[in-house]
Amino acid sequence: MIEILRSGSHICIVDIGREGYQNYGTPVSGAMDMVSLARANSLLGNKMNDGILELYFSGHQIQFHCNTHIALAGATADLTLGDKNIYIDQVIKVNKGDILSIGAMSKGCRLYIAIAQGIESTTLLGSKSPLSGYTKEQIKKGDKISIKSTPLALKKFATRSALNIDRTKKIQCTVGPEWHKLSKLQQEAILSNTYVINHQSDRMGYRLDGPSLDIDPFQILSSPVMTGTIQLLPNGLPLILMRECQTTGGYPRILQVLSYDINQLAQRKPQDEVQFELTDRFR
Amino acid sequence: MTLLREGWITGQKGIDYFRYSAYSLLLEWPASMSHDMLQVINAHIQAITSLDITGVNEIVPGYHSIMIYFDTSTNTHESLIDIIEELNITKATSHENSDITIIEVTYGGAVGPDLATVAETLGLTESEVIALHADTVYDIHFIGFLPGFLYLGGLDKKLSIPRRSNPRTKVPAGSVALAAGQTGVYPSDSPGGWHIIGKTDHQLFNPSNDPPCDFTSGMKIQFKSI
Repeated sequence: MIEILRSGSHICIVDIGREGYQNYGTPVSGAMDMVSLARANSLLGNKMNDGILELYFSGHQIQFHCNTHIALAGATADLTLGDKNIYIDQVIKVNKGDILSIGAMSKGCRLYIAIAQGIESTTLLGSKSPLSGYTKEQIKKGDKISIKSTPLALKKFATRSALNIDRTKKIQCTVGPEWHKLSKLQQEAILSNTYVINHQSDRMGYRLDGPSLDIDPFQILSSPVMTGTIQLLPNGLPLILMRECQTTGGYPRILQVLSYDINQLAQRKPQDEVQFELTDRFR
Repeated sequence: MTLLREGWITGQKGIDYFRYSAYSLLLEWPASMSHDMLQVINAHIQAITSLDITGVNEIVPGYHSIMIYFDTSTNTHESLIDIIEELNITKATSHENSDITIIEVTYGGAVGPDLATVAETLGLTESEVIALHADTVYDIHFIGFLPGFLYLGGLDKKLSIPRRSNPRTKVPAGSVALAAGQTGVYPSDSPGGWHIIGKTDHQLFNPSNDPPCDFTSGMKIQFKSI
């Protein structure tokens, strides 16, 4: 078992998400940064879909009530286990009673903590990831989470590569279904503007601040949307749909973020900048 | 096939295709919220589902569109387009489900706080609003916005009313509401700008069940005043 001694901004349990229920309006959800989920799980030889902790920002403290092994991936942060400094991208042995503290983050904003053999928690529709309105809104101070206490066989696992977090990297997008409804000038503006992530951004979507597009606002008849879909809001600003987004929407879908770059966005926080770049390849 | 709008491919059978992402393909028909369009959408969902194509993971409809999520190790956008263009769908092959599920509603009072305002705005009595709302058989076009939120078609035009000027921060689960020519039931507590005219105990979404919702697109419901 592990215990949350202090919860900074937001902690949740995630995996690869809930597939196969979007026709019932169920968001896919899952880890915001899937690359780091895979990285952390793979370091321990866990299954890709094992539940792990997603920690947003710093200020968290977790105590382990049994011996285990952990691996961290994603954001770079000041990390201590007891009185030792520890680092991401490594397998770390944890002893019963150890306290893991997550301090300031210097790169990225989401840290993933995988625990040997995964976290035990309620599975809804095949996933442990948040389902708004039905799973616990967030994990808080004093909460206890079940883990399996079994020693890890000491061997090297085939590991997945880490995400190269780069705050200045342009976000690669393909055109969205309604891109063609914008004028050449409007298209060029979106691709040359520098947007800033608004504070009203979460696992559902990122609102952006920046030069507002001069448009006659239009909507479409509700049609499917997905993670990475960039909608154009009536105020002329883009909204990026993230992992817990709704399954259909009525705002024009102007761009679609490449799957890989959604992970890059997951590591950007409010006040960080975003620029879009068009590509014609899905990669 | 010709390239028409950027990224779109025009098929031979009135369907436009859009490579939405590496693993999703959007099918679109001319914009319409009609019952006829619903039947076209459903006939295609049934036909594609019955082919049981390996690696087709999810089929998600909108009013006049379908998104197909697929496994890229077994499918490509092009292979799916080819399969769909080969489908032989006529009105006769689409069978309509005529079962109607009754959803019991307590109209007005504390659970329908906007019924009086709606009636007044529309120049109707509360009983007339209830009768018009409950006399209609509604098509379920698709489910979206929230888990288990049914997009219903068929609301009587006399019940068309703009959204509330000040949306509520919390509309209780089960609230039956209407606005902007549409009606629906909030499956869970959520913010909302529609006028609440009643409440149902019918649970629209329960993730402990699989499937989590008793309804899919193409089914029909009717409200009954209790």
